[in-house]
Amino acid sequence: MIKKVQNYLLHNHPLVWNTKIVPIACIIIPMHLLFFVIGYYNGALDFTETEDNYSSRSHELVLFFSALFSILACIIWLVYYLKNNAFKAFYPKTKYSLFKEWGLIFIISFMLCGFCISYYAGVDTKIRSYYSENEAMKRCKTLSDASIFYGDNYDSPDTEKKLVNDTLRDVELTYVLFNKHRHSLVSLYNKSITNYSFYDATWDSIETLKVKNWLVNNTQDSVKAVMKRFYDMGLEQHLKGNIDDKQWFSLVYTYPHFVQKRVIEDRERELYSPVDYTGMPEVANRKIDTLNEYIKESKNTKYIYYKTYLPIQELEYNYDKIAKNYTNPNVAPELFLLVFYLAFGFSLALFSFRVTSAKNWLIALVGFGIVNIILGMVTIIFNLETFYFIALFFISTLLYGSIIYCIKRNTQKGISGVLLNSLLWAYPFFIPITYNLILESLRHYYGYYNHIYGQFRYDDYPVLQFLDANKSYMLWVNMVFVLVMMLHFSRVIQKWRALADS
Amino acid sequence: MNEFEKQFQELLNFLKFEDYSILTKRIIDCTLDTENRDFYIKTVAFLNWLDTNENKTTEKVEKYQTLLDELYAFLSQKTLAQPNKLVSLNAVEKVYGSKQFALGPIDMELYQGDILGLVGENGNGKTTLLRLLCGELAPTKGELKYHFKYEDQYDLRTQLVYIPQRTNTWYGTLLENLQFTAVSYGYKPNEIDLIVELTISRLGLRKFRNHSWKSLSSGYKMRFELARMLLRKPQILLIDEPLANLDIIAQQTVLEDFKSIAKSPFRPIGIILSSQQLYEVEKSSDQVIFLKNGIQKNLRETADTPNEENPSVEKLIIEFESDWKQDVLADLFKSLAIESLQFNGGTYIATFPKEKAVHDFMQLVATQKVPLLYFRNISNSTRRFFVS
Repeated sequence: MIKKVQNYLLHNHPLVWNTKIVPIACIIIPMHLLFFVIGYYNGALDFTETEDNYSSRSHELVLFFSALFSILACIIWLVYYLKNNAFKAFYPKTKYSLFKEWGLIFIISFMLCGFCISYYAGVDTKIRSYYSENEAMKRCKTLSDASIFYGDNYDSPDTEKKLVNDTLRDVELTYVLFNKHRHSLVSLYNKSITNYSFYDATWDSIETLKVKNWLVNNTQDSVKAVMKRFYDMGLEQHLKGNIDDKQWFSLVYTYPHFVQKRVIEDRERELYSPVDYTGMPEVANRKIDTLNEYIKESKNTKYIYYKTYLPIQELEYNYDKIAKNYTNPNVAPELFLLVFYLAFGFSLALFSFRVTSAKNWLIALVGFGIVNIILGMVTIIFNLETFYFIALFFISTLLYGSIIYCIKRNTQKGISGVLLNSLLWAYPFFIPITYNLILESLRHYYGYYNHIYGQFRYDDYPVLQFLDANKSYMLWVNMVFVLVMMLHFSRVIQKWRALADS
Repeated sequence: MNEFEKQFQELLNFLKFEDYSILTKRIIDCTLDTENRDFYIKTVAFLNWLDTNENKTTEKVEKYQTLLDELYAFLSQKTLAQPNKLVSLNAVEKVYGSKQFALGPIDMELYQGDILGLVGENGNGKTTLLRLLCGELAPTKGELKYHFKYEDQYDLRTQLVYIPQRTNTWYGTLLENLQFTAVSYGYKPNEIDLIVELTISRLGLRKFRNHSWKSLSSGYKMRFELARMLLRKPQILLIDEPLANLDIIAQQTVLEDFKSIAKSPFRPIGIILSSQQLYEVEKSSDQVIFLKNGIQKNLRETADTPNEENPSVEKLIIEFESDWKQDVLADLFKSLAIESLQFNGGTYIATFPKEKAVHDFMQLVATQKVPLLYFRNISNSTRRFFVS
């Protein structure tokens, strides 16, 4: 089948045949599917896991193997791809044939570098398969609303200015003010809801207010309904505490002041057995909150157990994962940008090797390294912050000028093959370098470095704010620039290739 | 009788004298000249039939005759190509950076259908001149002008095929390489297999199409390079020492192939080849340039000035081998007013005034019963440049 396709391509699309994109795609695409499946498997949520107790599913290990496979597949591809080089043999080429060839190399490079995308797409798909975004949002809202009614994480008391020994000081209040009434610091009025990434701080404040208004208005049904939904969410994942929703309600719903004596803990027991410096268990000596805690021995070790608890940690941990996956998925534009640039880099390195020669390529590589070391050293030794960027900017411009001059003179290649390699590697940095130079200059101009860290007000300098906030857009724009310039370079390279060697 | 008709008459003679091998080759040449897919199909079908029915003489002759008739009917309607000038060099010089070696000044012209032989000892600039002509090197001085149409320098170089003495390795199957060349040079998808089949048959490579490059002998590698060259349809073929690794029969075959390729009545090309095989090159070339220390010496100025009628030398120079001593021979040739007698690596080189002819030499040798192992008139051969 592949042979037939290749034969068809050889007769009809020799460039596509020459790049061997079909055979390599036949290897790479199933591997992408495999990485997707591995990602799907690894993305499965375990609702018994918590922040403190999760089984490690190492993404890094999978990514390491994906990189290893990329290298192997790349070697196999190169062996076949480098067999025929029509450009070096001076076979006729259309105007943009070289650009097309680079485009195909780029696609293959992207496929080779993009296993992580397939893997993370698998992870994301699996995580999102549990609940739709709307459903996940509803559930996170329930968790947020319910969070008022468990735990002992009360907000810090407000402060007020008071004259203490003739000195004006911030003194903590002994109460919390809600709805013009004073309440105890350990009342439900002094609590905030847990945040999930679906929602921002404003939503959290409004939602907190809404729940506290239920308390003020004694809207028991709403509270009961939240607790029931929470309890059912636990049951759905076979998670249970030692109280049900009704018991929970009766323990915490202490209208009208809602002062909390009983604590609804988020787990069954303390995670570790507390030990003193002698290694002896300290549990016996610790002051136990007997209303809420008791000591129990498990596997010859004493632990502090909680009298009332719900599977809060498990639900919070896993729903937080789901929420984050919707709001900040693994397969984000940033990941694509990273893979795009990796593929860009590799495809340009390979393309420059293909259109020039191994000798020119190697000399350029060594030269490029040496120039960078020298520039880096000068930058460090003389503490010239922007010298490196300015030097690279001028070197890129100089390289381009020398290639064009060489072609215009139409005599011989000389060392232009080395320069051409360097130019092809350097020009993708042209816009980022220019962008950073402008950014640095504006920072100096607006006195960014004269401020203490974190105190510079970007709002006063919209241009600087815009440039600082849109670096990733600049990188996308740069990609378009690289593409357009490759169109131009493909013509330049064709003319350069026809020059006499010496 | 035009050039095509003359060549076609030769084909009929090959058939008449049952010289089927060369006839087949020339039929393929004619088929390629048609540039017509129907003929490609007919000839390929005939070649396939020939593979298994070579001994069916009567039927074979009939098929040859039918194909020849059809080819004649088609090609006789086709316009003959007028040989155009391809390249001219005017005082072209190439000096290497350190001035270790300088080539030129070189003056020459090449027309379609011409074969130009470059001869000379090693290190005298033959390869440099070929590389200049194919654009790999830039001239230091002088004018190098190509007279055919090209869009830009790259396009020019697509029309110049340079085959170096050490050919590059072909990777992948030989057939795929040739198909890739054919499609790159604009053959239609439905012509490619046919044209490749014809080309490899033309160069006697049918048995080797499934071989790998490494399993081929040097001679067959050269033939595959020639097959690829044919598919590239160049204006000028520049080929460095094509005879170097060939046996004497293969040398003659390759030179004959060059001749028929260059002198196609419909698609003539220019061929410039370098070689140390003086006599073989001289036999096949329209012009011969001898290079000594980079300096050009022309044997014949152009193809229009054949050596018999307008010899560029004025003396009679005979190269021969004999058991007799130099002094005895010198005394003997005094009667022919010998000017010099050199002993050169086992052979004698005798120079006589221009009034003397080769039969004077032969008559004297015969009457005096001089034991001759070998003799050759090199008055019009670049051999004289080697020995002078």
